[in-house]
Amino acid sequence: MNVLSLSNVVKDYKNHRAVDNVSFDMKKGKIFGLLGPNGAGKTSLIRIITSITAADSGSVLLDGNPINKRTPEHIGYMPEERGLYKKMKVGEHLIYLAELKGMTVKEAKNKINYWLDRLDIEAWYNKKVQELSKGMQQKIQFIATVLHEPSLIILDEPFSGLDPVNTNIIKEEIARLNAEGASIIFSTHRMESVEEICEDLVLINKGKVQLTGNVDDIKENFKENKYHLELHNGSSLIENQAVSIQNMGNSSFELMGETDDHVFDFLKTQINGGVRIKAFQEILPSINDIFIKLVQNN
Amino acid sequence: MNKLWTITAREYMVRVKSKSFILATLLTPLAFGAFFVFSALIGYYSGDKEKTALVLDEGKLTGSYLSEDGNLSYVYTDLDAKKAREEYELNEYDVFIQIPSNAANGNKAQATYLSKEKMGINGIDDIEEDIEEAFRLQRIETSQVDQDIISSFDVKVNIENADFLASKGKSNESKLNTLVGSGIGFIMGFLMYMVIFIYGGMVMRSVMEEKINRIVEVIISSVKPFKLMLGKILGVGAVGLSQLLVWIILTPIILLVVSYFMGIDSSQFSSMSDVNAAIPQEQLNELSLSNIIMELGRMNWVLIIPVFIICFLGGFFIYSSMFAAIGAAMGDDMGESQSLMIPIIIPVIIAFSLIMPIIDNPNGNLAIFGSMFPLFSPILLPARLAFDPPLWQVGLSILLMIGTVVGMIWMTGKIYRVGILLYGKKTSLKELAKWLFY
Repeated sequence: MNVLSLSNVVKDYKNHRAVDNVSFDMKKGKIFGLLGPNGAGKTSLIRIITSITAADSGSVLLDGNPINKRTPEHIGYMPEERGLYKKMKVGEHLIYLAELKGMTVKEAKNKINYWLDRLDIEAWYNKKVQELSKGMQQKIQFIATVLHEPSLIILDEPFSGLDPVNTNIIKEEIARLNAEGASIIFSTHRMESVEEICEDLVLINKGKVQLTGNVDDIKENFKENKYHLELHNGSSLIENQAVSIQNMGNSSFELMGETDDHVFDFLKTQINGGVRIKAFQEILPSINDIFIKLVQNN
Repeated sequence: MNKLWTITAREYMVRVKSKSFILATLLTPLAFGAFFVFSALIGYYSGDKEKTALVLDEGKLTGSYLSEDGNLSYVYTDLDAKKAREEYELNEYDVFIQIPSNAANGNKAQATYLSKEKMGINGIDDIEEDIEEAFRLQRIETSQVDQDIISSFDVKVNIENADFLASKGKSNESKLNTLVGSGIGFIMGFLMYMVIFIYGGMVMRSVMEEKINRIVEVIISSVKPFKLMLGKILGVGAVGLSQLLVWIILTPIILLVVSYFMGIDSSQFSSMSDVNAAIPQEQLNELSLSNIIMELGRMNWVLIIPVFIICFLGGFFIYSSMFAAIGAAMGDDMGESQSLMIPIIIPVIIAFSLIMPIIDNPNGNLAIFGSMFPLFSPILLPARLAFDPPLWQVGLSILLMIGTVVGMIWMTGKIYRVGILLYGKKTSLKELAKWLFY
């Protein structure tokens, strides 16, 4: 079941096409990476999903239904550039945002108390936002995003500006919400952070989908049959035509064959020839590498 | 609808709870009261000081007609010039006036004065007038023409509004009516001008704040931008209305309390108003507080108050929605986009400058046009109200105003929607016009 399904979504601005015929599906209950360099069209796409702006053409289905007036109540969106009303107290601010999501004041208060308690910041309820540090405000923004228990949570660069301790706290909360059933879109231009968090992803460049699918599958598809080989001191390799060998120094080598079998045969030869092997490991391409490769090919 | 209410309520509460709002709301009527006390005190002290002038009229050119005028009393002396001057310097005289025996030359006369305190231009004028009058009376006496004959040459003409005479039955009230009407018209027009800039500016700053600190993106992922804008305008409008109501209620109370404790009587108020040189001397007597209050009571408040409130709301909605659109289009640098304010400033300034001409001729063509054109009418219709404008004109003006409110909010909503999400670009008026068609 797809929580989100986009087909042929197009959005034009005055001088350029920000979203160009984008189609992808997002499975329910997954953490989904929305990747792309700055200016790729991620924010434009998110604004369409959150119904901040409308697509010029194409369809967006949320839980199988076209986006409508009640959509905002099922989505929690934390933009990259985020702010709060500085003069408001934390408690009343959260209540206000929750009311805009369709919650009653009573429901909102219960949830707010739960979350402030959970993140160990109950004492902030009556503090003015302007008294909080930027990192603290970010926690409040996170609470505001998830307060109404949305089925789809969209986080745009959620860790930017957070210290490592708070980054971990938020990461844990994201994982927990996901375990409880929420689907999460994690938008970022930092490709490496996706690999540890996301199961599926879509990669966007210049408004177009470059790639979408399961992270492991993608890596498998893009692998170049590269392996890392490390020998014990004193051993040396038996050369072989079928495999290209790159000496990385310190008895480390990078092997690349036309197929995996070429590399495995090569390894057998080494073992049979008495070469003492310390380590042998497949090198999978990083999402970053894949992205660069894709962009260069275009 | 529910969310619109939530937004409106927040915009209202955040402002009403702020210290600056509470201070401004309470202090303004107090400041008004303080101003009254202050002017009354000035009137009291400046009016209280009696002065005496020693007059040396060497040729008896003024007879004994210089006696007393207001705070200045005249004492004639028969001493010679040197002694008289000593007399002035040694005794408690404030002014010494010397009219030489050859002072008069046909219709011109030359005299001199000395004063222990430096005299103001008004004081000198007053003395000149007194001496002129004394000359006149003395010349009449020496010419032996009957005073009554001379007096019969002077005719005092008083022209009154015929309708007004017929309906109110009393004379010399219509001018006061015009005067009070003008006052009310000017105050209300001026108030509207202030309202537009104070509360409109409040809307603009608030829009800019939301855009600059980027909360707007969170909010409009929950509600439509149009609702956010509308809620903001409604909330700030309610703030303005509340403030206005508090002022309308508190100001008379404070003035009443002040006048009670100060023991200010109507004569002091009239002495305050004779600063206004345009009012002929005769009318000053009518300009007593009680007459003004009576005249105020005669005004058609049943029409004036509701129409004023409609104009308040109409003007506020028209202009604050423009302010909202401009706030949305502005980047974080206010100075850079100052030119965007032109569509607001120009019509408001024109309307403001038309207040006086329209009060002068409250039912002329300019007045009719000004109170119909929707960008001017919120300021200019109130200015006309005290002059009983034809009801159909008031009605038409209000209809046009309401139509413009709807159209303007719709238009500015489109600009707002685009502008609020656009960052880092300098916007021109031309660009704003394009956004209308996005």
